[in-house]
Amino acid sequence: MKHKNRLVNLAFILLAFMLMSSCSMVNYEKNPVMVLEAYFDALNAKDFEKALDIDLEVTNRSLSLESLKGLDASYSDLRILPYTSPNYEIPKDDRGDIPGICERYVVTGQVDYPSGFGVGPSGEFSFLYTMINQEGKWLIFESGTFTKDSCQRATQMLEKRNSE
Amino acid sequence: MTAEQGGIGTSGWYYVNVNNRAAAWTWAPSLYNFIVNQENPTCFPGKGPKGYRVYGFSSLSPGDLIFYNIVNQPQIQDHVVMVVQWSAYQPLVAGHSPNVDYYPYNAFNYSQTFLIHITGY
Repeated sequence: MKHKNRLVNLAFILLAFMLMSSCSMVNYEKNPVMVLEAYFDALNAKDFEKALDIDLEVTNRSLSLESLKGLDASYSDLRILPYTSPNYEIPKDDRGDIPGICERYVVTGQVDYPSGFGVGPSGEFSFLYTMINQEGKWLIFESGTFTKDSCQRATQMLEKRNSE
Repeated sequence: MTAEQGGIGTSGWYYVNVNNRAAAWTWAPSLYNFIVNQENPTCFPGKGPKGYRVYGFSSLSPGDLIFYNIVNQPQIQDHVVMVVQWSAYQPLVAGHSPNVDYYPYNAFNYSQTFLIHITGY
C-alpha cells in the first residue's frame, strides 16, 4: 500500500511537471495592442534601439536613432483602439483590415516634447499605425495616414521585401 | 535672427537639424499657413515656397501640393502630399507617412482637400 501511494505521488509530480513544461512551451506572442504598448514604453524609457526593433518602417537606423534622441518625447494617457472599432468613421470604399495579418490601430494620448514641439506641438496627439503579422510576430509596418488600400499595400510590400 | 537661434517649431523656412527647424517641415497646418497666409517669418524672411489656394484639380501641376483633412484626425490640414504627375484623369502624388510615389491622390481616407498651386520660392 505504501509503495502504491508513493507511485501515485510520483505520478502526480510527473503530471504537474509535464503540465508546467507544456505551459512554458506555448509560443506566446504579443498581439498588436501589446506591441504598440511596448513600443511607447520603449520610447518613454528612452530605449530607442528596442523601439526601432518593433518598427519595420525604419530605413536608416542611425538617422532614426538620432531623430528619436533629439525629439526626446514622453507619452502619457495612451489609448490604443482598432481603427475598425465603432469609434471611427471608416469611408465606405476603404478595403479594410485583413484580420490576423494586417490590422490598423489609432493611438491617442498626450505627448510632451522638452522644446514644446516635435513632429507637432506638445499636447494631444493621434497617431495611426498599420500593423503587420510577420511570421507570427506583430510589427509596425508604417505610421501615418491610412489609405483605402493600406493593408493590401502592406502585404504586397512585405512580400516584395521578403523576396529581395 | 540666425538659424541657431531659431529653435524648434518656430515660423519660417529653415532646417538645421531635428532640434533646430521651422514647424513647417513636419506639421502640415504650419506649412499650409506658411504658404497660404503668407506667414511673415522672423527667421529668414522672404525664404520658402510661395503659392496660393486653387479650387479645381485641373489647376494643379507637378510640384503643387494637396493638403488633406483626414477622417477621424484632429487637424483641419492633417496630411500633405506633392503632385508628381498627371495620369489620364487625376493627379498622382508622392508623400511620406505613408511612403507613396506616383500614387492616386484620392486613395487617402480624407473628407476634404485643400489644393495649393506653388508659384515660386
